[in-house]
Order: sequence, then C-alpha cells, then structure tokens
Amino acid sequence: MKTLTTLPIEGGTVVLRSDESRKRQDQSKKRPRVHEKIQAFHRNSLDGVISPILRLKINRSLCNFKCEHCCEEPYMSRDLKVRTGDIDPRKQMDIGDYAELSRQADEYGIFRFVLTGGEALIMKNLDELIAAVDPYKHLVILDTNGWTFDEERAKWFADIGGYKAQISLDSFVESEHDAWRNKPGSYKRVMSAIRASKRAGLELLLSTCIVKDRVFSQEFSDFTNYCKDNDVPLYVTLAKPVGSAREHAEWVVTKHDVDRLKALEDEFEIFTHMSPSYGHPGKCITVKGINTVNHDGEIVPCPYMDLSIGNIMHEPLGVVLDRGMKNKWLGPYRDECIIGENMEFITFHNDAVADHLKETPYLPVPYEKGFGLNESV
Amino acid sequence: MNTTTGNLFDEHGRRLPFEGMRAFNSVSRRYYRLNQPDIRFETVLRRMNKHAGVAESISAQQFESTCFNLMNKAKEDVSIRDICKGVHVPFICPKFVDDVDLGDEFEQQWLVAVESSFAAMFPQYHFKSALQGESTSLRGTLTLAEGARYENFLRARRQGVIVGWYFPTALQEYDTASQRGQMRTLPLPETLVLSGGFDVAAALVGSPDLLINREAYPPVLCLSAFEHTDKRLMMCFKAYGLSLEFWLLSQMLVPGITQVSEQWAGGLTLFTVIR
Repeated sequence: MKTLTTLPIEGGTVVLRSDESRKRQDQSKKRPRVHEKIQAFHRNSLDGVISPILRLKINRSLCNFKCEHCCEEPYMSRDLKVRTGDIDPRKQMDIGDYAELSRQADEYGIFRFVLTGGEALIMKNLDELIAAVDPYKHLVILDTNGWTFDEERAKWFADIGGYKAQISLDSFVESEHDAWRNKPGSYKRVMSAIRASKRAGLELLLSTCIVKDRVFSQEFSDFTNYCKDNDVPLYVTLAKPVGSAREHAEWVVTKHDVDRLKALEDEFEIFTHMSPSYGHPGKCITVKGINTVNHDGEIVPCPYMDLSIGNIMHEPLGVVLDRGMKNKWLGPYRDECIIGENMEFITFHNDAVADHLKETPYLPVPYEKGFGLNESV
Repeated sequence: MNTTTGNLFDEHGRRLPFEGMRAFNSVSRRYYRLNQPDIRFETVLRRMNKHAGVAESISAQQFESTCFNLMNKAKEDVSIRDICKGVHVPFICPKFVDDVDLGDEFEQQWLVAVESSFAAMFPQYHFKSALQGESTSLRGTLTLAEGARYENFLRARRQGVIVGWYFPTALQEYDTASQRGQMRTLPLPETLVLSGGFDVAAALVGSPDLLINREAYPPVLCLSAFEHTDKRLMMCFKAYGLSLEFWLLSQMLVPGITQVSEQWAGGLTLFTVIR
C-alpha cells in the first residue's frame, strides 16, 4: 500500500494485504509456476479473466464425522444407501481424471486446489491424488476436521507439497464444538492439529461456521482473540439453508451479522469468501472465485449450492466456467452471498433441488434443470 | 422495453430502459436499495463548509430554496418529473475557477473530503480508496465521457457555487455504456448531466450515511461521467458492510464483455448556479 496523498490509496498492479505480499514472495521461490500464474492473473483480471479456487470433493465425500450443519450429507454413500439402498452409480473421477483436470486448470491459469470431502484425509490414495493435481504447479490446500491430522500426518502433507491446512472449529467452547460435530474429543484434536500444522511449516487457517447472532456472542469474541493472539487467520463461513441445514431457516444469518463480520475484519485477521482479496473488492465469488468439483465431475459454482454449471468429464473446464460467468445469478457483480442471504435465490435453488430429487436421488442438479433455466448475460 | 417519449422514469425514479439499452432487468426487483437520507440543508452545508471548502457566504436558506426551486421545475416537465420519486440527495459544490487535472482534483480534494466527512460521522468504520490496474494515482488518467454533458457542470462551477440534486439510482442496473448512451434522449441539456466524480463526492460529503443501509444491500454508485484512460476500468463508491470505499475497478465480466450488474447504479445530477 502506498501513501500518495493525504489519503492512503491502495494501488499499483494489485491491492494486496501484507500477508498476501509475503506469501507471493514465498511462491516465487518455492513454486515459480504458481507465482507466474498469480502475476498473470493480476495482469489479465482487468480483462475479466478469472482464476477461481477449484475445490475438489473427493472419495464420494466420505466422512468420519456427522455434523449438525453439514451440507454434504446428501452426497455421501451412507446417506444414499439409506435413501436408495446403494451408492452413487455415476462414474466417479479417478486419478487420471484429476490429472487431466489439473492440466486444464494450469492451462487456464488456475493456481489453487482445495481438497475436501467429507474428510479428505481418510482417502486411502490421497498421496496419488495430490501428485495428480501437482502441488508444485498449484497451491494444494487441505480441508480437515483435524481428527487424524497429527504431527506425523501434518509432516507427511507438507513433505508431499501441501501448502495449507484449513481446520474446522465450530465453537471456541469445547463442549459446543463437540456437540456441533457430534464427536466428543474433536475440539482437543483440532487444538493438536493446529500445533502440528505450525510445526510442519504449513500455512494454516481455522474455519468456522456462523449461525445467526453468533458474531455477537462472547464465545466468538474469545475465538477471535485466540486467533489474534496465536496468529492464526480465521475463515468464517455462513450457515446456509442447504443440506442437513435445509430445515433450519433460523440459522440463516442476516445483513446485521455480515456487517458485524466485515467490521471485525479491520481489527482481526478474519475473512469470509466475500472479503476483499487479490486486489478485488469484497463480493460474491460464485464461479469467479471458487468452484466445487463433485466426485462425478459436475462443477458447482459455490461450496454450498447443489446446482451445476456443467461437467468437466464431458466438456472442457474453460467452457463450463465461461457458461457460469455469463449466468445472470453467478457472473455479474453482487455484494451479498446469494445462497446465504438472498431469499429469492435460496428459494429458486431449493425449489430446483426439490424438483430434481423427485426424479433422482443424485445431486447436484444438472445445468439444464437448474441454472440453465436462468437468463444469460 | 419502454419506447415512449413521455414519462422517462418509473415510479421509483429509475430511467425506463429503451431499445438499445443494456440493463440487468427491464423492471428492477429493487433488491439493492438506498434509504432516502434525511434532508437537512443546514447540516449538509455545514459539512461542506468544514470538509470541502464551500464558502460560508451561502446560507442554508439560500441552499434550500434554490434546491426546491430546481426540484419544482423538474416536476413541471412531464418527461422527467418522476425522477423526483427516486432517492434524491442535495449537494453543493464550491466555485472553482481554475482548470485542473480531473484525476488530481478528485484524488487530492474530493476523496479527502469524503473520507474526512465519513470519519467524522462513523469513526468506527473505515473509508478506503483502491485502484486496480497499473496506476498508483488518478492524476492524468481521467477524461469526460462523451455524451455525459459533464462539461456543462464544469463550466457552471466557474461561474459560481453549484447546488442541486443527485439522483443515485436513476440508472440502476444499466451498464456503463448505456448510462452514457441514454443521455442523448434526456431533456435539460444544460442542467441535467450524468453523475461524475465531483457531484457524487459532494453528495457523500454532505450525506456521508448515503450508502449506510442496515437492512438491505445498497447499490454501487458509478461515476460514469468520468472515463479512465484504461477503458476497462470504471470508478465507483461502494459500501463494504457499514464502511465506505472508493474503487477504480475493472468493468469486464469476461474478456470482450462488460459487466451488467443488478447492483451497479449510474446517477443523474440536476443542478443550477448561485452566482
């Protein structure tokens, strides 16, 4: 940031937070291809070029937890077995498919992959998958509940090229976290995983899901102070009325909550998916900032949606992303989180999901039956 | 889309899109909303005296009566009277004799004034200015957009203090090119202009809570009478939570296609001069 007038103007090629600048310096040495892509993104983003995170839901979303607010349950084999008697019969992405996705992503200028599930760490051949997405061409970020992320596992992840661990902690009160997670002892494991990540030299952040009014609680204040004191960034997600939480409209946050979160960003290293980053203002990041890749190749333009914009096993990644960017709900600029706050979108989304589930138990809703019904720009 | 030449604005003061205009919705859902600020001419004037150098010789009564005369005249014109049904923000700009660089003046004077006024009212929130692109300053980067009529605004302020109304949502959901393009069909060519940097900044100095909306997301206020030398960029004021930000921002949706956003709002400015 440069001070050019009596007023500080953030300018230059990009508008970077100080931690972003430091990390970029690191990447130029450790992962020159990543650095090159970040630089290219900042040059080309003025033209409308995007470089979203690709969030890979792997291993049929298998999970060792069963959390109260999970939006992934309908994708899991355990849920499908209850509902249909069998697992998802659709072709699942294999290691070769992930390698091809990595190749296309690299060509497109994408530099971040998040591995998630369910719980990514319980995939048996996770090392093969990480090698396939190429942790030296991309930043590989691991979503984990921390249950098995001990010192040995953290070192293993760092050694094979892992970049960052994102560990979920849903309350700073031990009993509350364990209750949300339906897993006694999970709070203690998270605390161990934090220490393990730091010792392994991984970038680290904690992620937490907020429900209505939590940001005003003493618990959240204690949580943010802990993060500040321990130099751990806190990534906050908003509870969405999808998945297991579809029947919990009372969890949905209001603008009041979001405004409070945004104000806290000035004091703490807190951020949401809508926070300003990489020189862009805070906004909804559907397609342009993040996309989830389901295990069957469907691309969903937000971690909390169940509607697809296309399948990368059937068509090129670039074609799918371009289609998404031209969709009127997804591409054009908007500030709010549409799946977390915009009731018109939430209704459209949940109605499309409900209609689809009358015909088939498998999510996400294909493009033609969901986003394809909207206008394009 | 509306093609009549009668009433040009809807019941919320938004310009009715017509053929050739690119707008997100023909009829706005009004998801992004501004609250009508309380109009207290004395307070607005005091802020402008303090933060933006408006001469203290102008009285609040003079400011108020001139604004209302202007508004009443607009209401007599059937084609534009409904613009007054939209959010309207009084503003006052000091007399400005010297021709200076647009970017320099906006950066050195107006952004500073907006920041100062906002900080005085909301010390707990931030104001920041951010530039995308290669520029580290706005100096030498801004020109007047063709068709915006803003040269009339600049000419008028050499003659005296400008007072008037900023209608921030008059062109909500229009893309930048259409905000400019629709100007050719508006009446009052001398006194009704597309909103740009100085008038919008003046409105924010006088009413720093304009973008504060605790219930609904407010629109992004475009300054489309100003054009950056890098045509991919646009300028705007926007809220971030309850904070206020200025951005020089890419207007490209994808390569080759510009944004048409439900949240972006061009404004219209109606003004007169107190000599």
